Amino acid sequence: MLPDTIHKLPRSERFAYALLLAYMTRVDNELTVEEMSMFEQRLGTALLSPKQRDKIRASLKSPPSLETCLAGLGPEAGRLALRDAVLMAAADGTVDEDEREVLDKISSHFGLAPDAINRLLAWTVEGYSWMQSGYELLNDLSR
Amino acid sequence: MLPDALLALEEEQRRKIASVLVLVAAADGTLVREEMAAIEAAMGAMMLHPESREEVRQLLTEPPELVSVLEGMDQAAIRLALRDGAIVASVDGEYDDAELEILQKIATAGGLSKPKMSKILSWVSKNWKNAAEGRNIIATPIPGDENIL
Repeated sequence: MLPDTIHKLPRSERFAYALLLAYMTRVDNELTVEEMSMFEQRLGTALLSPKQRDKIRASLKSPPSLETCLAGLGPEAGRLALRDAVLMAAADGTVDEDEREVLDKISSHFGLAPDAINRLLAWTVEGYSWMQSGYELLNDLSR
Repeated sequence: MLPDALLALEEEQRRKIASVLVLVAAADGTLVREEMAAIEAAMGAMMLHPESREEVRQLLTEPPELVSVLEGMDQAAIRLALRDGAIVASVDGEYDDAELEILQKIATAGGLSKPKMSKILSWVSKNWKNAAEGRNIIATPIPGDENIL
Protein backbone atom coordinates (compact mmCIF):
# COMPACT_ATOMS: atom_id res chain seq x y z
CA MET A 1 0.00 0.00 0.00
CA LEU A 2 2.99 2.30 0.28
CA PRO A 3 2.71 4.69 -2.64
CA ASP A 4 6.40 5.07 -3.65
CA THR A 5 6.82 6.92 -6.96
CA ILE A 6 3.96 5.95 -9.26
CA HIS A 7 1.91 9.00 -8.34
CA LYS A 8 4.81 11.22 -9.38
CA LEU A 9 4.91 9.97 -12.96
CA PRO A 10 3.36 12.02 -15.78
CA ARG A 11 -0.36 11.37 -16.11
CA SER A 12 0.00 9.69 -19.51
CA GLU A 13 2.51 7.21 -18.08
CA ARG A 14 0.32 6.49 -15.07
CA PHE A 15 -2.43 5.69 -17.53
CA ALA A 16 -0.13 3.41 -19.52
CA TYR A 17 0.99 1.77 -16.26
CA ALA A 18 -2.63 0.99 -15.37
CA LEU A 19 -3.30 -0.22 -18.90
CA LEU A 20 -0.51 -2.77 -18.61
CA LEU A 21 -1.94 -4.03 -15.33
CA ALA A 22 -5.36 -4.32 -17.00
CA TYR A 23 -3.68 -6.38 -19.68
CA MET A 24 -2.14 -8.63 -17.01
CA THR A 25 -5.53 -9.36 -15.48
CA ARG A 26 -6.65 -11.01 -18.72
CA VAL A 27 -3.59 -13.09 -19.53
CA ASP A 28 -4.88 -16.25 -17.85
CA ASN A 29 -8.47 -15.54 -18.95
CA GLU A 30 -9.85 -15.32 -15.45
CA LEU A 31 -10.15 -12.42 -13.08
CA THR A 32 -10.28 -13.41 -9.43
CA VAL A 33 -11.43 -11.21 -6.56
CA GLU A 34 -7.84 -11.09 -5.33
CA GLU A 35 -6.56 -9.92 -8.70
CA MET A 36 -9.32 -7.32 -8.92
CA SER A 37 -8.50 -6.06 -5.44
CA MET A 38 -4.82 -5.78 -6.34
CA PHE A 39 -5.70 -4.08 -9.61
CA GLU A 40 -7.93 -1.53 -7.87
CA GLN A 41 -5.27 -0.94 -5.25
CA ARG A 42 -2.64 -0.11 -7.86
CA LEU A 43 -5.16 2.02 -9.76
CA GLY A 44 -5.67 3.99 -6.54
CA THR A 45 -1.94 4.44 -6.07
CA ALA A 46 -1.67 5.88 -9.58
CA LEU A 47 -4.11 8.69 -8.68
CA LEU A 48 -5.81 8.57 -12.07
CA SER A 49 -8.68 10.87 -12.91
CA PRO A 50 -12.19 9.37 -12.77
CA LYS A 51 -12.39 9.40 -16.59
CA GLN A 52 -9.07 7.60 -16.91
CA ARG A 53 -10.24 5.01 -14.36
CA ASP A 54 -13.39 4.39 -16.37
CA LYS A 55 -11.31 3.87 -19.51
CA ILE A 56 -9.00 1.49 -17.70
CA ARG A 57 -11.88 -0.51 -16.25
CA ALA A 58 -13.42 -0.71 -19.72
CA SER A 59 -10.13 -2.09 -21.02
CA LEU A 60 -10.48 -5.01 -18.61
CA LYS A 61 -13.07 -6.43 -21.00
CA SER A 62 -11.04 -5.87 -24.15
CA PRO A 63 -7.45 -5.03 -23.27
CA PRO A 64 -5.13 -3.61 -25.92
CA SER A 65 -2.14 -5.58 -27.16
CA LEU A 66 0.95 -5.90 -25.00
CA GLU A 67 2.89 -3.87 -27.55
CA THR A 68 0.38 -1.01 -27.25
CA CYS A 69 0.66 -1.08 -23.47
CA LEU A 70 4.45 -1.06 -23.53
CA ALA A 71 4.62 1.77 -26.07
CA GLY A 72 3.22 4.28 -23.59
CA LEU A 73 5.68 3.48 -20.81
CA GLY A 74 8.98 5.23 -20.16
CA PRO A 75 11.83 3.37 -18.43
CA GLU A 76 10.83 4.18 -14.83
CA ALA A 77 7.12 3.67 -15.40
CA GLY A 78 7.91 0.44 -17.21
CA ARG A 79 9.98 -0.96 -14.36
CA LEU A 80 7.31 -0.05 -11.81
CA ALA A 81 4.68 -1.60 -14.06
CA LEU A 82 6.72 -4.79 -14.29
CA ARG A 83 7.05 -5.00 -10.51
CA ASP A 84 3.32 -4.53 -10.08
CA ALA A 85 2.53 -6.88 -12.95
CA VAL A 86 4.34 -9.55 -10.93
CA LEU A 87 2.15 -8.69 -7.93
CA MET A 88 -0.94 -8.91 -10.13
CA ALA A 89 0.09 -12.24 -11.59
CA ALA A 90 0.79 -13.70 -8.15
CA ALA A 91 -2.34 -12.29 -6.51
CA ASP A 92 -4.36 -15.46 -7.11
CA GLY A 93 -1.62 -17.63 -5.61
CA THR A 94 -0.04 -18.95 -8.78
CA VAL A 95 1.82 -17.60 -11.79
CA ASP A 96 0.95 -19.75 -14.79
CA GLU A 97 3.03 -20.22 -17.94
CA ASP A 98 1.20 -17.58 -19.96
CA GLU A 99 1.66 -15.01 -17.22
CA ARG A 100 5.32 -15.89 -16.85
CA GLU A 101 5.85 -15.50 -20.57
CA VAL A 102 4.33 -12.02 -20.54
CA LEU A 103 6.39 -11.01 -17.51
CA ASP A 104 9.55 -12.15 -19.26
CA LYS A 105 8.62 -10.11 -22.34
CA ILE A 106 8.07 -6.98 -20.25
CA SER A 107 11.33 -7.51 -18.39
CA SER A 108 13.22 -7.99 -21.62
CA HIS A 109 11.57 -4.91 -23.18
CA PHE A 110 12.87 -2.72 -20.34
CA GLY A 111 16.30 -4.33 -20.26
CA LEU A 112 16.15 -5.74 -16.76
CA ALA A 113 18.50 -8.43 -15.48
CA PRO A 114 17.66 -12.02 -16.51
CA ASP A 115 16.90 -12.97 -12.91
CA ALA A 116 14.65 -9.97 -12.29
CA ILE A 117 11.36 -11.90 -12.48
CA ASN A 118 12.55 -14.63 -10.15
CA ARG A 119 13.74 -12.01 -7.68
CA LEU A 120 10.45 -10.13 -7.92
CA LEU A 121 8.51 -13.33 -7.34
CA ALA A 122 10.61 -14.08 -4.25
CA TRP A 123 10.03 -10.51 -3.11
CA THR A 124 6.28 -10.96 -3.59
CA VAL A 125 6.32 -14.03 -1.37
CA GLU A 126 8.12 -12.00 1.29
CA GLY A 127 5.42 -9.36 0.98
CA TYR A 128 2.75 -11.98 1.50
CA SER A 129 4.52 -13.22 4.62
CA TRP A 130 4.70 -9.64 5.86
CA MET A 131 0.94 -9.22 5.41
CA GLN A 132 0.27 -12.49 7.18
CA SER A 133 2.43 -11.37 10.08
CA GLY A 134 0.27 -8.24 10.25
CA TYR A 135 -2.88 -10.33 10.79
CA GLU A 136 -1.14 -12.41 13.42
CA LEU A 137 0.03 -9.25 15.14
CA LEU A 138 -3.48 -7.82 15.29
CA ASN A 139 -4.82 -11.08 16.68
CA ASP A 140 -2.02 -11.55 19.20
CA LEU A 141 -1.98 -8.04 20.62
CA SER A 142 -5.26 -8.26 22.49
CA ARG A 143 -5.04 -7.02 26.04
CA MET B 1 0.27 -5.17 -1.09
CA LEU B 2 -1.49 -8.50 -1.34
CA PRO B 3 -5.12 -9.67 -1.11
CA ASP B 4 -6.61 -8.75 2.19
CA ALA B 5 -9.03 -9.65 5.00
CA LEU B 6 -10.67 -6.29 4.31
CA LEU B 7 -12.57 -7.92 1.47
CA ALA B 8 -14.49 -10.06 3.95
CA LEU B 9 -15.99 -7.02 5.68
CA GLU B 10 -19.32 -5.42 4.85
CA GLU B 11 -19.33 -2.26 2.71
CA GLU B 12 -20.24 0.01 5.63
CA GLN B 13 -17.36 -1.32 7.74
CA ARG B 14 -14.96 -0.81 4.85
CA ARG B 15 -16.25 2.72 4.29
CA LYS B 16 -15.65 3.48 7.96
CA ILE B 17 -12.10 2.13 7.73
CA ALA B 18 -11.43 4.46 4.79
CA SER B 19 -12.92 7.32 6.82
CA VAL B 20 -10.53 6.54 9.66
CA LEU B 21 -7.65 6.70 7.20
CA VAL B 22 -8.74 10.19 6.18
CA LEU B 23 -8.70 11.26 9.83
CA VAL B 24 -5.23 9.84 10.31
CA ALA B 25 -3.95 11.59 7.19
CA ALA B 26 -5.51 14.87 8.28
CA ALA B 27 -4.26 14.62 11.88
CA ASP B 28 -1.08 16.63 11.31
CA GLY B 29 -2.95 19.42 9.55
CA THR B 30 -1.56 18.74 6.10
CA LEU B 31 -2.53 16.30 3.41
CA VAL B 32 0.30 15.37 1.05
CA ARG B 33 -0.03 13.61 -2.29
CA GLU B 34 1.56 10.46 -0.86
CA GLU B 35 -1.18 10.24 1.77
CA MET B 36 -3.84 10.70 -0.92
CA ALA B 37 -2.26 7.90 -2.93
CA ALA B 38 -2.20 5.65 0.15
CA ILE B 39 -5.88 6.32 0.91
CA GLU B 40 -6.89 5.74 -2.71
CA ALA B 41 -4.85 2.53 -2.73
CA ALA B 42 -6.58 1.33 0.44
CA MET B 43 -10.02 2.13 -0.96
CA GLY B 44 -9.09 0.26 -4.11
CA ALA B 45 -7.75 -2.75 -2.22
CA MET B 46 -10.95 -3.03 -0.20
CA MET B 47 -12.94 -2.55 -3.43
CA LEU B 48 -15.07 0.16 -1.95
CA HIS B 49 -18.10 1.14 -4.05
CA PRO B 50 -17.43 4.26 -6.16
CA GLU B 51 -20.14 6.20 -4.31
CA SER B 52 -18.60 5.31 -0.97
CA ARG B 53 -15.20 6.42 -2.27
CA GLU B 54 -16.70 9.77 -3.25
CA GLU B 55 -18.21 10.11 0.25
CA VAL B 56 -14.81 9.41 1.78
CA ARG B 57 -13.11 11.97 -0.47
CA GLN B 58 -15.63 14.57 0.67
CA LEU B 59 -14.45 14.00 4.24
CA LEU B 60 -11.04 15.35 3.28
CA THR B 61 -12.41 18.89 3.27
CA GLU B 62 -14.34 18.50 6.52
CA PRO B 63 -13.10 15.53 8.58
CA PRO B 64 -15.64 14.14 11.09
CA GLU B 65 -14.94 13.35 14.74
CA LEU B 66 -13.07 10.09 15.23
CA VAL B 67 -15.52 8.90 17.85
CA SER B 68 -18.45 9.18 15.45
CA VAL B 69 -16.62 7.10 12.84
CA LEU B 70 -15.56 4.44 15.33
CA GLU B 71 -19.13 4.11 16.54
CA GLY B 72 -20.62 0.99 15.00
CA MET B 73 -17.30 -0.42 13.83
CA ASP B 74 -16.52 -4.07 14.56
CA GLN B 75 -13.36 -4.75 16.53
CA ALA B 76 -11.81 -6.48 13.51
CA ALA B 77 -12.52 -3.43 11.36
CA ILE B 78 -11.02 -1.10 13.96
CA ARG B 79 -7.86 -3.17 14.09
CA LEU B 80 -7.55 -3.21 10.31
CA ALA B 81 -8.09 0.55 10.36
CA LEU B 82 -5.27 0.83 12.88
CA ARG B 83 -3.00 -1.27 10.72
CA ASP B 84 -3.72 0.75 7.58
CA GLY B 85 -3.78 4.00 9.53
CA ALA B 86 -0.24 3.31 10.70
CA ILE B 87 0.78 2.83 7.08
CA VAL B 88 -0.95 6.04 5.95
CA ALA B 89 0.65 7.99 8.79
CA SER B 90 4.08 6.73 7.77
CA VAL B 91 3.98 7.75 4.12
CA ASP B 92 5.06 11.36 4.64
CA GLY B 93 8.26 10.19 6.29
CA GLU B 94 7.65 10.09 10.02
CA TYR B 95 4.96 9.88 12.68
CA ASP B 96 4.28 13.20 14.36
CA ASP B 97 2.61 13.61 17.75
CA ALA B 98 -0.86 14.24 16.35
CA GLU B 99 -0.68 11.10 14.21
CA LEU B 100 0.54 9.00 17.13
CA GLU B 101 -2.25 10.39 19.29
CA ILE B 102 -5.00 9.41 16.87
CA LEU B 103 -3.43 6.01 16.25
CA GLN B 104 -3.42 5.44 20.00
CA LYS B 105 -7.11 6.32 20.21
CA ILE B 106 -7.88 3.83 17.45
CA ALA B 107 -5.75 1.20 19.18
CA THR B 108 -7.60 1.71 22.45
CA ALA B 109 -10.95 1.41 20.67
CA GLY B 110 -9.70 -1.81 19.09
CA GLY B 111 -8.73 -3.29 22.46
CA LEU B 112 -4.99 -2.86 22.01
CA SER B 113 -2.87 -1.45 24.84
CA LYS B 114 -0.43 1.44 24.36
CA PRO B 115 2.89 -0.44 24.63
CA LYS B 116 1.73 -2.94 22.06
CA MET B 117 1.04 -0.33 19.42
CA SER B 118 4.77 0.08 18.91
CA LYS B 119 4.79 -3.44 17.52
CA ILE B 120 2.44 -2.33 14.78
CA LEU B 121 4.65 0.65 13.97
CA SER B 122 7.61 -1.69 13.85
CA TRP B 123 5.68 -3.96 11.49
CA VAL B 124 5.05 -0.96 9.22
CA SER B 125 8.80 -0.25 9.18
CA LYS B 126 9.35 -3.73 7.79
CA ASN B 127 6.99 -2.84 4.95
CA TRP B 128 9.20 0.11 4.09
CA LYS B 129 12.16 -2.24 3.93
CA ASN B 130 10.23 -4.67 1.75
CA ALA B 131 9.13 -1.85 -0.57
CA ALA B 132 12.70 -0.60 -0.83
CA GLU B 133 13.88 -4.10 -1.73
CA GLY B 134 11.27 -4.22 -4.49
CA ARG B 135 12.47 -0.92 -5.89
CA ASN B 136 16.05 -2.14 -5.67
CA ILE B 137 15.25 -5.15 -7.85
CA ILE B 138 13.86 -2.92 -10.58
CA ALA B 139 16.60 -0.29 -10.12
CA THR B 140 14.12 2.44 -9.25
CA PRO B 141 15.14 3.67 -5.81
CA ILE B 142 13.74 6.69 -4.02
CA PRO B 143 15.78 8.96 -1.72
CA GLY B 144 16.32 7.22 1.63
CA ASP B 145 16.20 3.66 0.30
CA GLU B 146 19.96 3.40 0.76
CA ASN B 147 19.49 3.90 4.50
CA ILE B 148 16.83 1.19 4.75
CA LEU B 149 18.49 -1.56 2.77
